[in-house]
Amino acid sequence: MSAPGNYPSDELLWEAFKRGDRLAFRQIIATYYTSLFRFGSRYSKSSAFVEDCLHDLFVYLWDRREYVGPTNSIRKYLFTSFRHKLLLELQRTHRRGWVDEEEAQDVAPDQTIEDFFVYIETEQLSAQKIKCLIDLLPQRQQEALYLRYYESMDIDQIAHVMNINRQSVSNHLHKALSFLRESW
Amino acid sequence: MKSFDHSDLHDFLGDPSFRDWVYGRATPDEDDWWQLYTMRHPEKAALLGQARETLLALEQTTVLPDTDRIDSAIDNIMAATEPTLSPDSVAHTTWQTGWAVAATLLLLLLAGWGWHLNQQRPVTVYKALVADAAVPMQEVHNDGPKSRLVLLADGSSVVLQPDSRISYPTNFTAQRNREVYLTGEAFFEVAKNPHRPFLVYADKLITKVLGTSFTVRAMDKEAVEVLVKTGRVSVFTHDDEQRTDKVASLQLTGLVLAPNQQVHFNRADGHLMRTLVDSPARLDMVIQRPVFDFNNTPVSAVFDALTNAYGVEIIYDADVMKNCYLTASLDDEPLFEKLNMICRTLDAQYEQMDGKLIISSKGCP
Repeated sequence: MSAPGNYPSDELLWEAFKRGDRLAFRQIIATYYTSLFRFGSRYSKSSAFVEDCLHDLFVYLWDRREYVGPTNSIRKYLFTSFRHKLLLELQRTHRRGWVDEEEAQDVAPDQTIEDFFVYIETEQLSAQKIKCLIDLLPQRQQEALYLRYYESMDIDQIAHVMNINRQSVSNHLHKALSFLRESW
Repeated sequence: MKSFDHSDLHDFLGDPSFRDWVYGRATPDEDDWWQLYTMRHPEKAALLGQARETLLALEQTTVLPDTDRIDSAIDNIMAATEPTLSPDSVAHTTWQTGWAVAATLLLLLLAGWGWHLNQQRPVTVYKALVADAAVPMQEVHNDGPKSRLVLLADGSSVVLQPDSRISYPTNFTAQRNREVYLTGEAFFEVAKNPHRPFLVYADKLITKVLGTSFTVRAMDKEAVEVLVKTGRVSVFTHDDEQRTDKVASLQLTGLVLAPNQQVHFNRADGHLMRTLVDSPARLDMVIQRPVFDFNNTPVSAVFDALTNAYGVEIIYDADVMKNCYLTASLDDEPLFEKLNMICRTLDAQYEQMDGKLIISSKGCP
């Protein structure tokens, strides 16, 4: 995959950033901000929370630029470190003993398959139906589907981002697709 | 262009060109190709529709950032990493920690009906706390229909609402913290003293201030709410692991409520949730509204306002004071300080007798 902007590859753009090139840094942020924000919104309904995590992540990367390793996929690198950051901050929120209203919605209410069938009997719209089916999937299967099909990542990249092995990624994807196919 | 024969959901989803088309990232050529494909293969319509809806539903599991916020977010990151600036000074400017410091504060505890059998009722909690208090307590029980003024030894004032009780030490000298216990509802105006935190124990919530004014309401209900109009308080539960530290600290730590925020305390699961105040109408007590802005106001109107707000009778010679006018803004102070300011301005004195305030003055020129 070719790198954004004038750089022929992710490696070279990353190298420029590591050397302290402000334009390269800005280009990296501008290229991935929206995708990362979208991905982060899977973890929290609070836009402020996602924004803050992204802010801290990029500031941290800049401060540590000399020490961060090389990468052939900036997308993979950023998604992985951002997911790590999100989980860390959510844990911190959980530990402090209180939540803000927006954060409280982060844990999706448990939906049951019975709720769903009651729902589709009254609701025949296919788009609504698929949306409900996807909501029924376990979070990790949803995440794998999202990274695979929305972000067009391959199995290796997804494994890296989600910090699981390739086989688990394949299993998540396979189970999710089987469920969608059978429930349709 | 393509020579495949998609026969399964997986075939469509796994096709990057199909995904680009669904997500509107396709080139015009690809667009045309897929348009043609749908016309030529009506037998694939259902499958293609399912694949399409699946992709769109996946997109909808996430939220797009506001476009105008992206640019400012990027600018913030660039500013925070600007080499010529000290990174420490700007690195965390966007974390939502910049609570404004304000002087006044209103705090309100509200609740829904019903309570669980395994739970203690707030009045039970109150009695247990009072029994455990380290210093002797004095109690005022307002069982009448009107609010009642309680004056504390440190200069703080409390407007106790009907069907409410408050316990407080006769003087606050025995302990560093100023600690009072409440069941029901009360409006507090706390004399400022940053070295001696003021703590209100109401049900299982502890509200801590360093000097300001607020309302607490803790009834026999399932949930408790603390509501702040202006100023800052910290709120924590009796079961908080760091309770001792939070009580002792001279800072407001943990959950701090800023203006227009409230906290919802669920008695059943012990969870605290901070939300925005949904409606200013929740501040329904007279005293919760700023009514103490006086501009060349006749002193009779000033005393009426105080009587209204605090439910305290003020006795003065209206004839002698008929030429007295006041210009002052007295929102944030306890009643004592308000009276001190008024009396200083008008060269008058006040004293307290049988729960009434008696003003003596030689009149104004």
